[in-house]
Amino acid sequence: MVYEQMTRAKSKGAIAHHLVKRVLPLIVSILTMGISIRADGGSVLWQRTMGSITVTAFTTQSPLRPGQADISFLVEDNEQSRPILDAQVFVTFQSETGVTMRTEATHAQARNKLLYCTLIDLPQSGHWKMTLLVVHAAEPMEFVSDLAVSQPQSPLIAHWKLVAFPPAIAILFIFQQGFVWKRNATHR
Amino acid sequence: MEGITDAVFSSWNLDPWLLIPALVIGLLYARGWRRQYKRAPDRFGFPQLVSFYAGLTAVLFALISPLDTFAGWLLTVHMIQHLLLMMVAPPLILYGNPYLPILAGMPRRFLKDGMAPFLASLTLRKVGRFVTHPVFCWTAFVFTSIAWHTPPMYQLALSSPTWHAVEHLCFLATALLFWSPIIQPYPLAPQMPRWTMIPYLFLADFQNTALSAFLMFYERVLYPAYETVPHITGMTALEDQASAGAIMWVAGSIFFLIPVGLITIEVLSRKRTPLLRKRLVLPQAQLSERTERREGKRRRRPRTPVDLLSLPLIGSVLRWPHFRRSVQAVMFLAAIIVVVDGLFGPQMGAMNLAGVLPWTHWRGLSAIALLALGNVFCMACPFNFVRDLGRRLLPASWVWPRRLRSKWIAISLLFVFFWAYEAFGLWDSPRWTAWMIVGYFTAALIVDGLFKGASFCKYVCPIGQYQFIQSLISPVEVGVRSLDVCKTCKTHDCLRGNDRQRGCELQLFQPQKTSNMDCTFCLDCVHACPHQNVSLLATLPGTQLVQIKGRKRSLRWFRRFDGAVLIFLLVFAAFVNAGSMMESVQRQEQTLQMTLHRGSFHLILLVFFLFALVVVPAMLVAGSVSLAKILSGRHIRWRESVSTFAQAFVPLGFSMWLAHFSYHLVNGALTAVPVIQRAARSAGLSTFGKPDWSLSASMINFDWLPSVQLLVLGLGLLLTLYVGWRLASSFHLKFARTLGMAAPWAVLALVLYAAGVWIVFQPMQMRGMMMDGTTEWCMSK
Repeated sequence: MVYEQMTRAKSKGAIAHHLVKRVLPLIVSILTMGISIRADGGSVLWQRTMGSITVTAFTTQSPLRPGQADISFLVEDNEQSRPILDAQVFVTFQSETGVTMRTEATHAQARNKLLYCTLIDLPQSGHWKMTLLVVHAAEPMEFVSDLAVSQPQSPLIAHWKLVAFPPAIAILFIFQQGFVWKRNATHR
Repeated sequence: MEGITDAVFSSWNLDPWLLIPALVIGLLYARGWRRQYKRAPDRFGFPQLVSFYAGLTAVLFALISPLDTFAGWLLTVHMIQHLLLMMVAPPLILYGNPYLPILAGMPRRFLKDGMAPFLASLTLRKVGRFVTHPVFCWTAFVFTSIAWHTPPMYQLALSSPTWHAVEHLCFLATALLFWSPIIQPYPLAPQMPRWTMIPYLFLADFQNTALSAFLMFYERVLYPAYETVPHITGMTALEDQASAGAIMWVAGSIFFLIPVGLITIEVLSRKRTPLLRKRLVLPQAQLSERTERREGKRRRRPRTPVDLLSLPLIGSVLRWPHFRRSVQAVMFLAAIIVVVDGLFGPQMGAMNLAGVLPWTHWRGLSAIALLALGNVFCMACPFNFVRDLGRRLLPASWVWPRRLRSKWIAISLLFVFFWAYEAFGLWDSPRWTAWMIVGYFTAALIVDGLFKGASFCKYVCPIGQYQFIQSLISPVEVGVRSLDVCKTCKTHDCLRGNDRQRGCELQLFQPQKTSNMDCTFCLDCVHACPHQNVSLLATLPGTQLVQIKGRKRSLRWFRRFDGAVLIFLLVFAAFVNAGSMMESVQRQEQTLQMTLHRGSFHLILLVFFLFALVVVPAMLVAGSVSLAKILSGRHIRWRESVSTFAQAFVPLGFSMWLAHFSYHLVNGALTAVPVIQRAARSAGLSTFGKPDWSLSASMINFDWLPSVQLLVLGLGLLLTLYVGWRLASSFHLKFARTLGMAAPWAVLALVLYAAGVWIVFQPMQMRGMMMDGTTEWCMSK
């Protein structure tokens, strides 16, 4: 009984150590992973003015490719020369083949909180029509533009980091072992 | 305006790729600093601690704060960000004497085995000395600063997040080098006289002044990207450029000239006491006392492995004597339901329990369980029910023939299974699946009804062999807590059993057992041990494969050729099985089926499998053996070579199985729902509702899945290469010869890895799912 208690106490210490050492970093990395799904401004796609409003569209990917795309909009008041933060921005994407997708761009999805951002999954390449509906002070304004979505990247290029990391680590390991061997030979 | 200010100040970039490394470095420093502080509090005191964290915070602030978010819109903001990275953070970090604390903060084993060889290398020391020489540091800093401010490079950084990150990395790295000769962090020794730091800083300031003056007075916008972005502050791009130049000029010069003043005072003072770095000498008595304390601490107690049976809730459940029987009962019931539905339900894989549960869910979950826990399937094996029934009905008195005490029967059965799976489309044939389970039950009943022990599990069961091999990289094994307790044991109950509990039916003697091979996780030994010395212990995945010491005894089974053949069969089958799902392969199969009659098709498939699972592996392995012999110059019998290096391929094979099964599991996770609903309705139970077949055809685009599959394959390859290297090292040859011995096997592993990567990128057949009614192709990739 005493032995069992002793081993249990030891094991609990080991478990705590294990939790701190292995599980905690994993949890932290998983939690922070979610944060990365936030959009950025990126490069300017176009800028349009209608009435008292100027809209600038941004994208982080250039060129756009099928898959998740991050498109953001800055809505500015021309008269007061300042960004408008209380508008509603709706975006419609329509492909040549007739695929239509509607979404709302919000500040919540944007890293730059002056922007309205949408993360949209573009299923195919080709020419898309992007229709932007900005509603500000109960006045809707529509901006239509073309969006060119290029061919998807070769999967090998898209995932080159993951494909290349094992051989890279292996080469580093061989060098490390070379140094170990050399050191051991010198000590002998 | 208040809303805009709020929005600006809440625009943070909490990127995990920045936060996690910063967190790791911060933790390592804290851990190491604690130790260093006890040894040399004057050198690693609180000022150093505060300075280091202030520097780290400055780096983080530059990269995750709104400064980074608006750097693309305003050159002024971008300049402030660069000043933080080049002028503020590096001196603060270096004043914290970061090298020793960070090294000391690393796990002891990683430091000793991983880092120490690099640190001790004379070549790398020479490189380090060259890189930290003031001339190199100054040149690198100035060159980087000028190069990244040229319009093409700056535009590149603004247009691509990756290049922007590279730019920041260059700035930070060269700034750390630049400030090193000035701050002289311990233990870096000065390579030039102290007075040379005065022209060193003046010349750097001259370069900074020239660059900032150019920015300030140039009459055109240098970086066109700033012309196209919105000007939210009201400044034009040219005004913004002039403002950035002014900040660079004034702030930059201050950062250069303050140390110039301090060093001048230091050089001119009579005592020559460094103002930026105090000379630290510990009293002899204090030193010897610390040395004694340190040496005393080195004698550490061995670390106890995590014992699963001691965990509060899981431990109690696992120790419960009826736990295994209860789980087996559930699995047995599930197997019976699957058999009944397979025989009498609709004969379409995606609509039948026998087409979905065993092939999509069970395979995937058992692979994940192998990785997370261990051989859970054998622990919950439903065939045990009929095995025990067989023992009651039949004599169970014969001894398994000595000639058959090998893995050859299981190897043959596995080969037949892999062929039959494709030839008869088992995944889409519920009736065949059901008959296969019935056949399994019958074989278990007959074999264990006639023979003693667990002959079926050890010598016949193909699933068991698969589980045994893959569980060699599991993080849990059944083992003894303390070998000292076993030394005093005379009864060996774990093997022989006692009145209360039978011993190990697979004849595994716990004190000598060092791997999960042949272990069914039945926990009979755990319950039989009167000393409570056998338990489920956590182990580092892969360690069971590299236990070189005591190899003759502990890894005895590896030296058996049948074990090696079993491993290679499972490894190559992983790639062939996944490869046969590829759209191109399926098209070929369909063409063959249409042109040939059924018998000929099966025969051709048999020839293909013989070629893919026997001939090709045999040729590749034979080639590796011969090359290893030539390159290492060591004569090793080919059987020994194959038996030794086969175990290295276990991780790679498992990673391919896991990548393949996880693909089915993730895509078809919900397919069980409508099938269970349908089966329940067929049985007259309407509580589960009407089958929602849309769940069987759901085509959610799991973008992340190929990345996870590649990661799994990559880790499998790395573990395979590591195990291969350790096994080659066990022959005690010179480095070049060891490399020669391991190289051919490493090349074979790389070839398999490349094949796995290629398979992952191919369009796959969505087995067990309903795509467009009956066509089951997924062209999403």
